Amino acid sequence: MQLQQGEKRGLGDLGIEARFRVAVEYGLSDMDMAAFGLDQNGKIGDDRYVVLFSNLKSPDGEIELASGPGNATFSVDLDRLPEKVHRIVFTATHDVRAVAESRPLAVTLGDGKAQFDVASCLNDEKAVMMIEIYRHSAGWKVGAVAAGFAGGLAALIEHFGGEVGGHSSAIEAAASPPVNLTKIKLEKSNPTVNLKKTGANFGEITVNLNWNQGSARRGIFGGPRPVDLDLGVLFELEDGYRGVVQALGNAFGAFHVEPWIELSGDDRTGAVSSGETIRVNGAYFSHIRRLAFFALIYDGVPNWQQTDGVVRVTIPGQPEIEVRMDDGRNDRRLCGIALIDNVSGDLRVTRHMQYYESQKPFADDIGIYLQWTAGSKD
Amino acid sequence: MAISLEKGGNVSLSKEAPGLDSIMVGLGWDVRATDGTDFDLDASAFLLKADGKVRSDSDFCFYNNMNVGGGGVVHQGDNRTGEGEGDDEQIQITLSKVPADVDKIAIAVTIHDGEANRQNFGQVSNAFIRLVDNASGKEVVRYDLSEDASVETAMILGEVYRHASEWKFRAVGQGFKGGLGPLASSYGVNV
Repeated sequence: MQLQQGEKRGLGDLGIEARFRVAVEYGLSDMDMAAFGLDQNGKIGDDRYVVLFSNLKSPDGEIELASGPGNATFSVDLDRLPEKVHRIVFTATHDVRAVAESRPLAVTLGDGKAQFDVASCLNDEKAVMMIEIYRHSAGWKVGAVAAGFAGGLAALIEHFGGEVGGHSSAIEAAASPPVNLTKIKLEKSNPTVNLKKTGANFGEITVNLNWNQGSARRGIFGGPRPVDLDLGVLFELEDGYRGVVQALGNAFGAFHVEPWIELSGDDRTGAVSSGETIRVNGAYFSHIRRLAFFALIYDGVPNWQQTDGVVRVTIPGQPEIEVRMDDGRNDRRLCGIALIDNVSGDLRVTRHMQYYESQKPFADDIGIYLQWTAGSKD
Repeated sequence: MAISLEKGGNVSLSKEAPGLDSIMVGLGWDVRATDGTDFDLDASAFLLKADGKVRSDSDFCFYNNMNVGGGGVVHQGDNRTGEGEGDDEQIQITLSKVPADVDKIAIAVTIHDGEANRQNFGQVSNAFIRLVDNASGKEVVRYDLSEDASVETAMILGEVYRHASEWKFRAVGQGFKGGLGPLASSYGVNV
């Protein structure tokens, strides 16, 4: 049956079992689908029950998200949900555009037992609660909501009792798994973001490269060799000092002395879930002119599509910045990912996403001129 | 301690609050939390004969006809958004002033321009009706309807009615499609 906005139905009345699927079909790129498990006050009590791109399932898999192009499917097992989760609100958000631009935007419950055309009910909301599943004295019910906020994800999180961007946020406070709800995606259409200091300085700026090693796809004969992705950075300081921090040549840098940039270590397999991390000491940001981050396939065949790499820039008190390495070129070993510039004290992050044969053409291209010799990690 | 009724439940007002005469009927709902047109809910009351119809059009108590039944039922005015704590709209009932041929007083809430704004009670949160004894200031009975509402734009929340020699209250929670006009028509009001 087709649900109307505002309609409430018992799941049992619709013939939907405790284990069922909520499938969302949409037609606007860069939409994010999430399921917010809420407490009896309609607030986020335990953010491990917020299931989205960065937290694909709740602790015991009671809610799981699987995504494909233009669709997202949540598998839900209501019987296994802890008592404290009273309500699951399924949301659609977009960073810059109105969710209503998505045609279709439709939710299907229980493999067709009920459907809800969300798009036709919307105005200019950038964050929308599509449907909710909630406990009721007579059993679980579904409500067709289709309402939200022009203020986007931040307003939605606030509605659910969370805080956005602050250190004290309940969302950020949870240690594992990290659920990042505030983020800025840098893409071709919006390649740059400028950040101002929120405190005395930028604190510890963390640049993390993570990638999918693809081991699940390897057959019993081993399949392709694991891809070793290295994170590195070219830097130019205010005093003219230029160099590179990378695993190659054991140039790990230093956090507390010049160049105030340090590589945390080398993950040769991608098996370390945290990937590779470079930390920049924001207390000395005034000494830094330009940073140019890159990923290098040191070993194995360059196959960028398979790596599914993502670089995240984390700065205390600032939204997380994400750059996805989604424009793969298989014939070149180095991907120039992002630049950080000091623009009169502001921190400007720019998506670069261009591919090179090696460090040198990348450095030349962005204007950090270095002397180069061949090196090895071994 | 006020009695909290479920849909369909009823209570004897005469037993719960002996000597009860002056009643404040409070209606409330949460202001809209999401973006969009505010919910403007209107309370109304219908003074009905035993056959369930009004005696005349003037027995329809609403924002344009606030003092009805010889002062037995008095509407306290319109709140446009649901803002503020507690009751959003109030109707005063003085049982001793209610004309003898009025058998029951049905209390309804409708969403103003609900159809045009594509609003219905399923979207309204935490709507309730409560009866307060004005003499003691105590709440006698309460009915929270939130989960009994769905796509309707009018809700008959409750009714105060005569039963033998006493007054009772019933939590009706009956939705009605079409809004205030059709609801009034169903009670025999010419609109």
